[in-house]
Amino acid sequence: MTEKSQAELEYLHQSVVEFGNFALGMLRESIDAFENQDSQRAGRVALKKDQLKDIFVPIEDSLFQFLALYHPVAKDMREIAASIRIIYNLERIGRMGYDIGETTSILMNCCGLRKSSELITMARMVIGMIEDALSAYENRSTTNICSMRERDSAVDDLYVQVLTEFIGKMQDEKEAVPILTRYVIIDRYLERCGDQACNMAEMIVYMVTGERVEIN
Amino acid sequence: MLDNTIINVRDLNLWYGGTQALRNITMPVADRKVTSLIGPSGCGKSTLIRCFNRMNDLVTGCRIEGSITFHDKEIYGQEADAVDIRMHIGMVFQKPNPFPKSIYENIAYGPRVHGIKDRSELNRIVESSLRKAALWEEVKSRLYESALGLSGGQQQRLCIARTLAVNPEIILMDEPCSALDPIATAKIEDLIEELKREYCVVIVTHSMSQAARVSDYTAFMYLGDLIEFGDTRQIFENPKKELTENYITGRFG
Repeated sequence: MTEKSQAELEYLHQSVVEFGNFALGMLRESIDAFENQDSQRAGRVALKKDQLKDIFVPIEDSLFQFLALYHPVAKDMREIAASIRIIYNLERIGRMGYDIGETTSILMNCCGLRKSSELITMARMVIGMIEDALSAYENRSTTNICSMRERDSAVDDLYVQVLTEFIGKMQDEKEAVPILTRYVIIDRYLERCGDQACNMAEMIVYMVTGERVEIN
Repeated sequence: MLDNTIINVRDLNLWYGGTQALRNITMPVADRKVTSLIGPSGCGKSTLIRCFNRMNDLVTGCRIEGSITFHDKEIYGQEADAVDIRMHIGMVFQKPNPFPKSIYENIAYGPRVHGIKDRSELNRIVESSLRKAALWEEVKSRLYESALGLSGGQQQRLCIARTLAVNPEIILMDEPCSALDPIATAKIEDLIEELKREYCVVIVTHSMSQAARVSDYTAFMYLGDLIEFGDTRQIFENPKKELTENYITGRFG
């Protein structure tokens, strides 16, 4: 591999990290908006949807081009393959951040937000998982993601807890079902974000060690 | 040892005069599979492949210790006949080297040397060898024209056909595509894929992507040592040795 291609690979790696921070930022901001009942912040997330796509497409193109131009093998191939998978995970996380932001705006405009501490707890856990996955990718290290399966399991438990709580509320307040359904959707988005973090972790393990593991 | 080992190399050491070119090489070569030898220039891969059919016998000052068996018989044993070994283990070189004769005579030469005189039998061998080398359709109308009029890629396939004509079991290829354009290279690679149905193929190549594409097993050599031998997919996806990884990813060499 030439110095040029090594520099290009490193540049792509950093671009994925930056994209990850952007996508994670969207999720974080949407949760902050939800927690603080901040409609302005929720609106700001909505504005980032197009930007997410605008950053994603050139990185995806560059990763494909790297494959075509340099035919990487071994750790270089694993890094490119993992990066291609991971940017899709990150794009989904950004999109779900956007969806949570939009749902928050809708709820605030129609009837005010209900507090759900479990939902916030779950969101913080998921954000922590994505932060650690992103840091593991950035440092090409698996240290931060060793306990990802257990953390995802805890998120899944909370998902079921929140779901049960809101189904109970739906039975008590039948007229509020259309509104309460949106909380269930947020619950589902967060659970899916946890799965995306696990998918990232699986690819990071592959990138670093060459081993295929199943976390999710 | 692999299940279908046809050549087995054990503790092979080779010296050119006072210079040791191979050190304690131990590896199997599987029948009806393609084995690639890769490594930087001077690592010993051509020296190793030339041991398989005793081409190093022709090098003054070359001394060999250790064991190379072909069907469990020592290639360098006292009873082994180098000419007989070369009939069973053919070789194709970097630069196509057709004889300055007709296409037909290039193929018929080996069988004639081995005693086949019958014209119809020679015709059959010529056609069959050219077909196996994927060259028949291109040359069937000009079999008696000079082989030197063929393109480089055709000449290389002619050399492969010439090797096949004496019915070998193993075909050694020492950088067979390095003098060819990408189209001719692709034809040789397709041919290698076909040949491994009936033959064992060992190929020395400087092209990492070619080794990855064509071979089932890959051996990485460095400074006369065999650093890593394994399944090609494993070598190119997740090599065990850092030296192998650094070489195949182009970080040195």
